[in-house]
Amino acid sequence: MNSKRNDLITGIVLALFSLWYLYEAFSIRIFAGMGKAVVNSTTMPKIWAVCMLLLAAALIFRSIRAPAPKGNGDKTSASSWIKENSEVWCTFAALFIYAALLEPLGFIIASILYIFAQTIILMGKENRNYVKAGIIAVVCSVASYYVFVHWLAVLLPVGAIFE
Amino acid sequence: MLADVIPGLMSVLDPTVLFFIVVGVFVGIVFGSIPGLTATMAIVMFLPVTYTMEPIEGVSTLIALYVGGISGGLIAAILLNIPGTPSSIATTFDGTPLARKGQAGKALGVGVVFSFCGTILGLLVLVLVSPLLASVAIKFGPYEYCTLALFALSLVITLTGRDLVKGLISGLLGVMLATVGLAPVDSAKRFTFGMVDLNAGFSLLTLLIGLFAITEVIKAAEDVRKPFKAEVESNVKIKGFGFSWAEFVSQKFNMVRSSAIGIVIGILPGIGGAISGMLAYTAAKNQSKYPEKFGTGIIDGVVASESANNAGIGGAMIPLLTLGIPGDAATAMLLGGLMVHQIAPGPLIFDKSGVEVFGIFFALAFSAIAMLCLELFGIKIFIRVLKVPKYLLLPVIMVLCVIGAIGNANRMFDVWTVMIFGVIGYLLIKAKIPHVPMILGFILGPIFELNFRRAVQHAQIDPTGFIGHPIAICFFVVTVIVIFFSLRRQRKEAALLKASEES
Amino acid sequence: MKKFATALTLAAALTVAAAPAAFADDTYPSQTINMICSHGAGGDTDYNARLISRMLEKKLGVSVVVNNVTGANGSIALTQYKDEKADGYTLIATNAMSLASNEASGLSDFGYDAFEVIGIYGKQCGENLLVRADAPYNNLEELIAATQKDPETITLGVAMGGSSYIAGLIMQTEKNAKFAMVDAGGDGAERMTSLLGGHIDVTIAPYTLAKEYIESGKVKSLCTLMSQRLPATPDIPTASESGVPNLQIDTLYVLLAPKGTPAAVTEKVNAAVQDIVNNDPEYKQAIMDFNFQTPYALSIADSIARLKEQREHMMSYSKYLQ
Repeated sequence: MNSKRNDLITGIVLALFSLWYLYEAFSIRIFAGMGKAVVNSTTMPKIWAVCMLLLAAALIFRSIRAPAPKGNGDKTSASSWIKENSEVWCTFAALFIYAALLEPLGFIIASILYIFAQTIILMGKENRNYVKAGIIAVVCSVASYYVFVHWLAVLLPVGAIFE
Repeated sequence: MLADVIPGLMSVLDPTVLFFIVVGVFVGIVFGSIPGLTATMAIVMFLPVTYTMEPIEGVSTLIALYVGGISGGLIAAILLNIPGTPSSIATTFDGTPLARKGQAGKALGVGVVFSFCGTILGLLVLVLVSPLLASVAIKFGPYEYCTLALFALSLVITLTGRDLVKGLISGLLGVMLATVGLAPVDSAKRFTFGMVDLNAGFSLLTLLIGLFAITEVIKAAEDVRKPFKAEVESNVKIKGFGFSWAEFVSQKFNMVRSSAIGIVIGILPGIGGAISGMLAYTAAKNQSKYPEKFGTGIIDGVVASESANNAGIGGAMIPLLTLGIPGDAATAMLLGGLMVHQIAPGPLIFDKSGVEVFGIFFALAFSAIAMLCLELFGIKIFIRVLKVPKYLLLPVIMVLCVIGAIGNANRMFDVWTVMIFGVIGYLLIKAKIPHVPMILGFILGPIFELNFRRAVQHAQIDPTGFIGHPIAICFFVVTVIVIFFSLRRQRKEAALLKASEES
Repeated sequence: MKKFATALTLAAALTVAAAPAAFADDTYPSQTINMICSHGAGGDTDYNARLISRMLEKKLGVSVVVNNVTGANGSIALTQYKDEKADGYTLIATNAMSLASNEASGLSDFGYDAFEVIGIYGKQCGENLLVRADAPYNNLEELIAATQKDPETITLGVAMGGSSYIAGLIMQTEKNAKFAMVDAGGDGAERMTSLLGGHIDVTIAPYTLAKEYIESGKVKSLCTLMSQRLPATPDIPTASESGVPNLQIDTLYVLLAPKGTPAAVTEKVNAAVQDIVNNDPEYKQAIMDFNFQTPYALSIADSIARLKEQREHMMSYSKYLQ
C-alpha cells in the first residue's frame, strides 16, 4: 500500500465517479416554467464534474510521474492486510447490521446488541470482559430510549416484531 | 426605550426565569457536548414545552439552550476529536492536539473563557448597534452572497494541509454531495434516482457524524492491536481557568478579530456557525507570526474558533430581532418561540415589546454567565472522559449519534446515510484526503449555487447590475488576492513539510 | 415490566385491528395518538398542528404527540406515512397548498385522495402582494399596467414552484402582466428581506411577516391573495376585487389519516376538531395572537370538495411547474 499506487487508484476511482456524475447530470429535468434562466439546475453539477475530472487527472498524472518508492515496504499481501485489520471490518459490519436491525428488532434490542458487539471488538483479546460490556449495553440502551422517546418525543423504532 | 431597561432586567431576575436559564444552559451543554446531538436539536425538542410557559420564561429558556448548545460543542471537540456540534469543527484543529499533549484542561479552560468573551462581545454589538447593522445586512443580495461564498470557498486552500490537489478534491466531493436532492431555485430533482428519501438531500449532521464519529470508532478499532498505547492522561491539577493571565492578554487581538468575524457571519442569514469558526481560524493563522504552529496544539486556534462561534449568537439575534429574519435553523426556531408569545420581531420591536427585548438581552447575558460557571466547574468532570477507556465510550457515543441522526428529521433513512458517510470517511483517510474541506464544500456549495443562479437572473434583467454592488466587487477582488497569496504560502509550507520529512 | 408493556401494546393493537368499525367508534381513542407534522418546528404548519393536538388531548382524553418529519416541502412525511397502519393512531398534519403543489410539480405522485381526509382545520392569514412604500403604484391594476409599459423590468421575487410563483403565473397568463420573475427564496422572510434591501421590486409574503413593516411605513400591501378580506385588515382589498378574479390562494391546514382508516374514526376526530375550532375561546385567541387567523374548520365532505378544487386549480398550472 504505497502512496504512488494509492494515488493512482484514488485518481481512477474519482475519474470514473466524475464521469458517471456528469452523465447523470445530463438527465436532470430542466425546469420548464417561467422565470429567466441561462443557468439551470444542470449547469453547476456539470461544472463540478469537469473540475473533479481535471483534479483526478492531475492525481493520476502525478502518481505516474512520481518515482517508484524506495525500499520494499509494500510486500504485504492483500489477504494479510485484511487479516490484520479484522477489527475494522468487524466494526463496519457491526454498524451496518445495527442499522439493518433497528427497524425489525426495535431500538432497544438492536442497540444492546450493537454496544455489546462493538465493545467486545474494541476491547481486544487480552482484556475482554463480557459482563461489563453486557451491563453497559443494557443500561445505556434502555436509558437513552426512555429519555429520548418519553421526554423528547423522538420517533425511535419500536420494532416490527412487537407490532 | 431606556425606561424599559429596568423592567426588562427585573423580568429576568425572577427566580423561575433564572432557574430555567440555568437548566436551559445545562441541557444545552449536554446536547452540544454529545456528538450527534446539536444545539438546534435541543431547541427543536424544547420549543413545544416553551409554548405553554410565560413569555419571558419561554424565550429565556430557548436562549439559554442556544448559548449552552453552541458552547458545549467544544468539549467533545477537544476531548474526543469529534465536533459536538457543527460550529465546533474548527475547535478540533488545535483543541485535540492540545489534549493529546496532556493539556486538555488548558484547552477546555481557554475554550470556555473565550466562548464567554465571544458571547459577551456579540451581545454588546447586539445591544449597541443592531439597527444600524441590520440595515447593512439587508443590502446583501445575490451578488454579495455569491461572492462571499466564493471567498469562503477559497479557504479550502488554507485548510488543506500539504497536498493541494487532495484538498480541492475533498472540497469538491463536499460540493457534489450537496447537489443531491432538490436543486436551489427551481427544486428540480437531482441525483435522486427515484428515491423519495433522497429528495430531501443529505443533512450536515449526518455527514459530520459519518466523517468524524464513525472514523473515530474505526481509528480505535485499528489501534486495538497496537502494543504501545500512548496513554497521555492529563492528571494536571487545573488552577483557576487553566491558563495564565499573560496568555489571555496575548490573545486579545485574536479574540476581537475572531468575534468580529463571528458577528458578521452571524448577521448574514444562512451561512452559519460552522463557517465562522473556520473563517476565524484561517484569519488567525494567516495573520499569525507563527502560522506553522497552527494545528499542532496552540491556544490561538481554540480561541479563534470558540470566540467566533459564540459571538455569532449575538450576531444572529440582530437580524432576528430587528428584521424578523432567522439566520439559521436554531434562530428560525427562536423566531417561532418569540411569535408564540406575541413578541413580533421587526422594526417596531423596541416600541412594541421593549421590556421583552431588554429581557432577552439580559437573558443572553445571564446565560453566558451560567455557561461560564457550569463549564468551569465541569472541566474537572469532563476531563475524566479521557480516563474512560475508548472501548466503553465510543460504542455508546455511536448509539447517541444514531439517535441524533434519527431525531434530526425523524426518519430511519438518515441512519443509513451516516453509515455510508462513515465508509466514505474511512476511504478518504486511506487515500490521505482531508475531511475538513469536504464539510466546507458541503455547506458553501449550495449557498454559492443558489446565489450564483439568482445573480444570473438579475444580470439578465440588468446586465450592468454588478457594477452597482461595491460590496460584491470588493469580495471578488479580495478572493482573487487571497487565492494568490494562499497558493503561494501553501506551496512554501508543503515544501517545508516535505523537506522536514525527508531529512 | 417492558415485556408487560409490550404485551399490552400488542393486545391493544390486535383489538383495534380486529374490531369492527362500529366497535372502534366506542373505544377510540384508547392509546396515544401520533400526529406527524410535515413541516419543521417553529413554522405556522407546526404551530397549528401543536395547538390543535393540545386541544384534542383534552377533548379525546389521550395523549396526542406531535413529531416533525421534515424535508422536501412536506413530501417526505406524506410519502412515509401514507401507508402507515390505518388504526387511527397515526394522523398527519400538513397544509393543503404543499399537498397540491407537490403533486402539480411532480415532487410527489399522489394527491389528497391517497389519504383519508379528516378535515381542514385552519386557514392562514393570507399572502399579500407587497411593494416598498415609495413605489409609484398603489393598487394591483396600476402595478400590472406598469409592467406592461416597461416589460421585464419590474422584478417579482417569488419561490420558484411555490404559491408565490403560481400567483405570478396567474397574473402573467390571465392579465398579461410582464414581470421579470426572479427567485427570492422559499421562505417568506427571505423574500421580505430582498424587498427591503432593494434587490426586488415586488414580492408576495404572508401578512404576519409584513405586518410590522406595513405599520412602520416601509412597505405597502397592494392586496391580499385570500378569497376574502382578512378580518384583521379590512382595508386591504383582495386580488379578485382588484381585477384578477382567479388570483386566490388560500393556505389551508389539513389533518389526514392513512388510507383505510375507519370512517368512524375520521368522523369522530373531525367532530372534535370542529368543536374546538368553532367553540373554544382559548383556541380562537391563540391563533389570532400567533398568526392573525380566524377559526375555520370544515366537515369531511366539505374538506374533500375544497381539496379537490384546490388540486384542480394547481394541476391546471402543472405544465409551468415541472
